[in-house]
Amino acid sequence: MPGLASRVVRLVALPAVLSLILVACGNASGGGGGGSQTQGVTSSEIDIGGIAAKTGPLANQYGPIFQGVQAYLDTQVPNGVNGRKIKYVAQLDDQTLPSLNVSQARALVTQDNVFAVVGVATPIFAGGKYLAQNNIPTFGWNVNPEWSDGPSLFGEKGSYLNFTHPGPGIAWLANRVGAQKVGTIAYTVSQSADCATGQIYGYQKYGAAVGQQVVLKDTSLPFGFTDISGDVTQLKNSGAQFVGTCMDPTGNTVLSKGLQQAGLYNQVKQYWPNGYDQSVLNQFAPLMEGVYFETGFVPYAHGFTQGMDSYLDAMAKIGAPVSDVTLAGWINADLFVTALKQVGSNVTRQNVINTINKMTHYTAGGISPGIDWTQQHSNPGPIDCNAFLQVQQGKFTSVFGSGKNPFVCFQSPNPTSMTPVPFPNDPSTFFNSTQPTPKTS
Amino acid sequence: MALLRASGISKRFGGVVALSELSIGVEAGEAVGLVGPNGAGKTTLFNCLLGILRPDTGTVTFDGHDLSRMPVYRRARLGIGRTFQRIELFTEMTARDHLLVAERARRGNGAMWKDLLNRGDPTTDEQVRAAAVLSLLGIDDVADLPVEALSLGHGRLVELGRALITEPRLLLLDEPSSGLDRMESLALAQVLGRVQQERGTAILLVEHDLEMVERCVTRLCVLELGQLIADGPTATVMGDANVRRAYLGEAV
Amino acid sequence: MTHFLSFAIPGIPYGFVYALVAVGLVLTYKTSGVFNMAFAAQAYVSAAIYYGAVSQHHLSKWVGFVLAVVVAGPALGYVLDRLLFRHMRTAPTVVKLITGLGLLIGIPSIVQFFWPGQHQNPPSLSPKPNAVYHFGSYHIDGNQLVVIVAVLVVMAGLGVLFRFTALGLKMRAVVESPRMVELAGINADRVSSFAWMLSGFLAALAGVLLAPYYANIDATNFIALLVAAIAAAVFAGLASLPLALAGGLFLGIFQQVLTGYLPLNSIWATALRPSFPFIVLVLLLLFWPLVRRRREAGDPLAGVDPPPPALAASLRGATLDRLTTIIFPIFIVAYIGITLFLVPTHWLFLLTQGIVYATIFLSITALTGMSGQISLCQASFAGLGAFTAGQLATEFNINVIVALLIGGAVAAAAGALVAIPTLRLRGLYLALATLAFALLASNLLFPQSWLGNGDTGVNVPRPPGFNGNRAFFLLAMAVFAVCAVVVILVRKGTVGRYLSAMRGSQVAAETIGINPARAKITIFALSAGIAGVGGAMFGSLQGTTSGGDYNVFFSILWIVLVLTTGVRTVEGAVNAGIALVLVPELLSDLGGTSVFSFLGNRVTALSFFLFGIGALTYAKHPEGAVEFNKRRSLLWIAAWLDRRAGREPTAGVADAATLARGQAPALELSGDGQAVADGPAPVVPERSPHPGGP
Repeated sequence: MPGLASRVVRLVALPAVLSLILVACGNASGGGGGGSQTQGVTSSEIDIGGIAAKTGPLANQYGPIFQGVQAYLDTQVPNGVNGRKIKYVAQLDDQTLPSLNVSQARALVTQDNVFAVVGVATPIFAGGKYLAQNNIPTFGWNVNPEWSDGPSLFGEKGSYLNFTHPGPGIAWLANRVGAQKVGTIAYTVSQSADCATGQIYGYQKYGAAVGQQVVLKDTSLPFGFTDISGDVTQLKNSGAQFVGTCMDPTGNTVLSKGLQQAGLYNQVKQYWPNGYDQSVLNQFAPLMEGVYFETGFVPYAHGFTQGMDSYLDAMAKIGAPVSDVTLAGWINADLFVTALKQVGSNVTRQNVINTINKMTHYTAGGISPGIDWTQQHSNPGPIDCNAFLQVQQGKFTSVFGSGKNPFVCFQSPNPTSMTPVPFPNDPSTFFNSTQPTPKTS
Repeated sequence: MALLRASGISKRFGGVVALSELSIGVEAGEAVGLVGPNGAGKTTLFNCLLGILRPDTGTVTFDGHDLSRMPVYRRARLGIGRTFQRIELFTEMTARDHLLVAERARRGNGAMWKDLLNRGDPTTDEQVRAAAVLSLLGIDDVADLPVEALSLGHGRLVELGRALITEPRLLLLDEPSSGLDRMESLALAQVLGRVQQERGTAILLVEHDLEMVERCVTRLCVLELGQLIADGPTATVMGDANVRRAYLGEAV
Repeated sequence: MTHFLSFAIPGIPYGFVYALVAVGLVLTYKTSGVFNMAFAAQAYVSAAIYYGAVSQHHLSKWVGFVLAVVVAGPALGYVLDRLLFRHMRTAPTVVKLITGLGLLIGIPSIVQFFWPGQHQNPPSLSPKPNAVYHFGSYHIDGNQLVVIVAVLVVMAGLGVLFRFTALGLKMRAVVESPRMVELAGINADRVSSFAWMLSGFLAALAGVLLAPYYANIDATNFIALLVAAIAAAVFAGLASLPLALAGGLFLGIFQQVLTGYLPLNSIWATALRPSFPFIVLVLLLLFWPLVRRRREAGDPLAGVDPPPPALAASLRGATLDRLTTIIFPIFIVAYIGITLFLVPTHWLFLLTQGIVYATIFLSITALTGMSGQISLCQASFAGLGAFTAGQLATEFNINVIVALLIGGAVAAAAGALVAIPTLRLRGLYLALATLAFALLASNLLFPQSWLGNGDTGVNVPRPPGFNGNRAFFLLAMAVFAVCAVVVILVRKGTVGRYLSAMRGSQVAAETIGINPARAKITIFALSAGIAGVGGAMFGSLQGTTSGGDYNVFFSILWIVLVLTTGVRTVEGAVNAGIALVLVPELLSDLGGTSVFSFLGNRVTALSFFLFGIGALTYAKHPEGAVEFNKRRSLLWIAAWLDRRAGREPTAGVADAATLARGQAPALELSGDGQAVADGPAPVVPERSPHPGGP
């Protein structure tokens, strides 16, 4: 009876066989995840996981965040916290795909059963909503608006991100270097375009009072595709004196090259929002000479604070790069561990979250001028301090600071002008490094 | 008034002139033959009549309608059917399916919303009509095999049946006996005769098989290098000197 | 004029690189009938080799050049010809297209597997890339100079090859008329091998020359190059080498000139600059005479040859039907029960994903399965559905289920909008048009804040009452079931029959009064609508979704996957959905075990490699891998049962024919429109003694 046989074969179709396999696998990998508060915590261990965009077409390196976290755990709390060692059980790669980011966020919670997610660095943090909804303590590099999605998400510089309405830092910088005619160049990619909108906003709101005039705004460059001749011509024709970019290091170097070739390099001062990284300098030093950078943390140099010294030493020890992303990992780990220490023996997710959200002045051991977690999920917070640097003779040099203090600080959260305000910490206790202060100018 | 009238049809492909100021007509119910050497332009003419190709000049009218702006399927719906020199079958279907889909198209009453209500299956009416044509052509016994399993003779019959079931007023047949043996050709000629008598279908027949031509048509047109060199009653044309020279050949 | 030149000059290097790839595309297309989408992958491989040699192993640039361009390029081209495309000579054009797409997905993955991580700042071929050379008031840098010089040298070489050598003459002959060349006794295989090696060289050179223009070495950068080259190749009618060259050059120059004349921050600039090659491609496909003329000459680019229908169906009998009605529902209930109650959360999520993907894939079953046409923009329709549903639900508080249906409707309307201007296009050209639409959607539509909202994306909430994972799984199953029933009903109804007729012979279908435009628009709209509904479900499952989830890469991956598992049956769509979800998961589980831990994260690159390679089976088994295996087991079981009953193994006429069809496509339209019989089917049209007039 071939008919019956064929039907039987047909019925043993893929879904059925698969279900059986899945049940077997599922039971093997352990029970399902729930919302249990002590999930991921045993008497000797606390499990954490992370997600980063290690592969994919975007140029920035996100993967090293795990190194930042691990370095902190190894050097600062090698014996764990309160008798529990902190262990990375998963470091996932979301391949820059939003859907994968979501799946992996879920997987960390439901399959890897982590207690907290420490170390998230990706251009599209689609999984943020899920983690926020499920109240999972999550720590990562705040380059996405999703960090504001809930009280359990903690970025390294606060969880609020508003590219389009920043503080007066850049406008102040332009003014400080004597530029009145200013401009911005960006990619069409939304983060880049938003950054451009923010710079223009800054020039117009804070710079108008000192006579700043926007002579160039170009947000039409396709990402990764680099031809800048149009912008260079416009800069030349308009007599621009300062240009802020919103591009990655490659795009920035193309701009630099273009300016050099057109003989405009000395006339037009450049500010790059990223690239404050020794490896970039090693590659492009001639194209970075005189370019300005800014950081909201203590600059990457020994001699400012012990916190920064520890970070630099740890990175050197394991051979990891010194950059924004590993620093973010370091700070993430520090915040997590600080909270754990304060929570004590009753380690639950809610306790960790509540503890952090009561902190009004968290400095990551002297790396950050101060984060107020009672507000910085939803606004920029009370502190807006910028440390400016310039590449001088092939080295990043701190500029415009005063003595040991490299920062220039502004009113926050709603600044009305670019007039600086005093540093919100006592410089003599904050800048506590035992090493000699680096040269500034 | 002629059922079909083509006037002044010209068509060139690059440097090659396929048809040159050709005019031809077919009366209702008439059986006309179209012969000529290969490359004369017969299939090109068919393609122009049906709209598969657009002629460079000239007009085609059918039953009073000017066909110039009409797409192929509209001309077909007006009542022109066709078979192809190189057989064009619906390769996945059975013979019966060919007829069913042609019948469905003829009725023009299929639509997706009906499909969704599970009313897309062939109706009894359609089945009956398909069965009638199948038996007319004598291919009942192979009706439910995939057409690829059929011999060429049967395949040609399927093509013919597909054209017939749409109840055309005019049948354009392009070398229907090509590849058939003598018995099959005779059978085909008989079918054509019956169709013409019972239904009054006009036929324009392109053929190389002269016996079939003589048997089937009353009027004969001869095409050479894109031009009509003869157009008249069969016997007269067959005896024409020009036609002998161009195509038929001299008796040895 | 000065203004014009100052922009045109930087465009020349781009134009030259596009021209290189365009020439390569036309060359392989004409000599072997393959429209080689894998070109981008070949360019990527050579760029990676050059980078590895120069930046990582610090070999000299000359050595790197020889390795990457002179050795690897032709070698890869030769391998592809020898192992794959030579054996597909008689396969339909679209089968070859799918193979190329499979390679496009698979090759970069395997490279990434052996070479993981980011690779930044690709080195230039030039020894002094940053040196500036002035002439008049213009200047070019070292990198641009080396591109111009290299391409000029290669073009001169090609000119000499084609004009003055015997091999070149043969290749030109093959380009003019492959059939004629075979009749003249030329070894077509050798000619095509050489053509593949030559075009491999061109791809490799293009890859190495273009790499420094990007921030890092990534396969997606070369897809942009490929699209520009496709536009140039279409400009050349896929036939003329000089036109391909000219087309590439024009495209490169105009793209740059546009920069100079468009106001810098206008909406035009933001939209046009990145999309210029795709827009040109669409315009060419719609209006360029060389594209249209092809069709009139008897369109060699017919749609995919229909794979044989499911064998199981044709052996169906009365016992079968009775068994179906009893056992199948029991099976479904058991499956659902197991999934709901025994499977842990993580796997429940995965299975739901699989079902949602299967729903989207039904759109491919509808379109490609019924009409035989390949669409490379199904992901775009899915995205449209998802974003519409999300925006309606979050901005206007519309019930999610209703929003889902509206999303499907919007996607269906988009499908009709894509179908209408492209009615005249079939086969390869239609696939390219859908590719262009997909790129436009990703670059122009999805970044808009009212649609896809750029990188931030859109939230698609769960429908009220279906928040839980289990409830949503049931909803997903229900939605899938509805879509499956729709596909089945349409397939066996009028629309399905008309499309089946059109697949067999479009011209014959028209002569019986079938309106091809209406059928095509209908199926495109239906397919897009199903994709939209599936996309909305996907968005709801994920919670947040953005444009990156629906880019061209996914369209290509999905079509490759469904064709591999089986595009004619609903089962094929299910298998594809589950495979898409399970294969990476199983691989990463494997990577987690101690035996394979050295693989680590690279294991996910393997999944795309497997999917890509799976596509290569499509050529031999167009009915789909699952169908093929089912058939084999069916035959074996039938033969075993016969032997047990002491009967002769039966093979009726129907079985033989269907089996025969299972082995090879029976009819194929070759390059000059003649129907050529292949395989055992005896329907052989006799040729007239002299080739008949068209």
